[in-house]
Amino acid sequence: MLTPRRSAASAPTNTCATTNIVGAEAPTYFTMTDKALSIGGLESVYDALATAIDQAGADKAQLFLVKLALLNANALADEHLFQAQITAALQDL
Amino acid sequence: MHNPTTEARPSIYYRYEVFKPWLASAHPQQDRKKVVVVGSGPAGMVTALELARHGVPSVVLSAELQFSQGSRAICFTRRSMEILQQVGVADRMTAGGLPWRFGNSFYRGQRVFRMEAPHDADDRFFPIINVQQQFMEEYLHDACKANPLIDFRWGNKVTQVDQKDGYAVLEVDTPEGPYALESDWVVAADGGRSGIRTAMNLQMEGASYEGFFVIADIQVDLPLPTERLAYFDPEWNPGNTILMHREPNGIWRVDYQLPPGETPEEALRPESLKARIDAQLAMIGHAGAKWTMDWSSVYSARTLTLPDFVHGSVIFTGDAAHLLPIFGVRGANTAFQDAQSLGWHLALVVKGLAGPKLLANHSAERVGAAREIIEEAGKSTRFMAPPSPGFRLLRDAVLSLSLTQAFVRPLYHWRTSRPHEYTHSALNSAGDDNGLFKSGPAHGAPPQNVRLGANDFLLDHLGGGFDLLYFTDAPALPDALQQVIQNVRAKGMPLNVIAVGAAQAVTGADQTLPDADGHLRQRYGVPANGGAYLLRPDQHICARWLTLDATRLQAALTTALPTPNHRT
Repeated sequence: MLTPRRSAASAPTNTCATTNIVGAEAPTYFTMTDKALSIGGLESVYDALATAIDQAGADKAQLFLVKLALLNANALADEHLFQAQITAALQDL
Repeated sequence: MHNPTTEARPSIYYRYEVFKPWLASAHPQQDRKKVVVVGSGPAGMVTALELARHGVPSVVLSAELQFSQGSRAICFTRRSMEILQQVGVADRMTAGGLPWRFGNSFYRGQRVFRMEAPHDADDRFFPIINVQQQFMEEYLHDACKANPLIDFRWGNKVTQVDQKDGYAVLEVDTPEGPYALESDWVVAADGGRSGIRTAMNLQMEGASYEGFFVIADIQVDLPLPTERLAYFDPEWNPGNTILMHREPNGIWRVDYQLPPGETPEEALRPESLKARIDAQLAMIGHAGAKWTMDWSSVYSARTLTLPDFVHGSVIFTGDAAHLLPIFGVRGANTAFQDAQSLGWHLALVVKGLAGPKLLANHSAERVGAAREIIEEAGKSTRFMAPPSPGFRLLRDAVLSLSLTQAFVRPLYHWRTSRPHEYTHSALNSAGDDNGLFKSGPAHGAPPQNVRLGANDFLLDHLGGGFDLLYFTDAPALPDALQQVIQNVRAKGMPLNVIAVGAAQAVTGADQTLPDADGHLRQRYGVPANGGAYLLRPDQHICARWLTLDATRLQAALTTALPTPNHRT
């Protein structure tokens, strides 16, 4: 289960699952922000995304997810962080 | 025996003249030539015209007896027009052309992007002008014909090139059989399917993309302005892209991508062309419009270049040197830049004013340009014709998002051909003030045109050699500068001096531009009298000074024209 991260200042003691799976270089990016979802927020995202994938339908799910990724990337406004997330998401497929 | 067709090519709007072949039997015995240009397309003819401008004679060989079939290249950029102005055909291009600066991209019936190319009051030429290639070839050919230094030979096909020590022997086939032609230099301007490149077994680097596109020219009356139209993923051609351009003489170019697996032969069947063009016209609201086919062809996108354009006595230029995607109008427009560059580099070597190092510079600069274009055009091609499922998915996601999300719309703007900046050229001066300027064109940049008055622009005054722009309001150039200029001219270096900023003619300058309102000075970022720019014979900047002195002028001229070694 994912553990939500807290602030950058507390990062050394906060070796969460998210940072472990992206390898040696990526944690830099993950500690650059102190924003994180609460457990409740994550659960909302989880349900909303699952529902939306079903709503898009099997033949449009991929397209929907790529659109969503581009919108997220633009909101993130950080191509390096996005690259780190690509690396993380490509793990353990 | 080479027998090119003597039947005029068919065309709705262009009357082909069939020229008489050049026959060796009708001419006296030939000496070894300085330069033979193989190919009479835009690259070949501009090379010959630039060579002639520097006093170097050439022979131009065309395998055919007439200009090329179909409109082919139709969009010419501002920089191309500036180059064509240098060889004397820009006025004719302007007279017959359709200038434009807006492009529109459509998806699901909505205009999702509008490209607006800037048009500065200081520019003589529009960002792009549409002219069919036959007309452009005719204008260039007329200029070649009028030039006593150019020996133009129709119906002469090169069948073999033998490289010797410092020259080459060509076997040239004609309607009366072959003859041998010796030349110090051979310019291979024989196009994308270059027979010389193939015979020399030269490998190109880069990528070829799958997928074919049809180009069809139709005569049709459409009440639409001269703007580029691009349609993505339309219902009649799902997943693919259609482009439309207005051409002169009531012709429209329709350019569409084929579904995977369809062969060029299938695509060019009349019924296939008709169904698709009818569907396209219907989609843009002109169902049933009467049209007539003029010409059609098929192409695929490739991003390939030779890693070196100079091979012994043979120099490749234009499409023979590289194959570039059509997106961004990069074929002929790149060829003009190649040819303009080659013309002066080669001329100064032929005249013994520079060594092979100068040709190595030409190759390095133009290979650099080709690689830059490949990098940029690759991005456009991956959007226009996605090469894999991943790229297709991203493209489709962008199309879908573009209906509501502005941030993705700039991805519709495939970069248009622009002149390469020779920022790190070996010809740039090391000891000038380039880095101290706050504005104006920097090292290697193409020139900034400046409007001087009614129908009078800076570029009208440049070319044919190096140009020194010296900013002054004094009655004469300083003696020490005049001395340096006289010395290099005495050695044969073509150098024109233009004084900028004086009301009266300036002694020591070939021309004086008053620049009464200081606008030229401002565009070139020159803060005070005594500043200067040195432009190469292709008008790219190779040195600039806030305050020019004789020592640094001499240094810049020496760098810009490396002295000859031993090569005859």
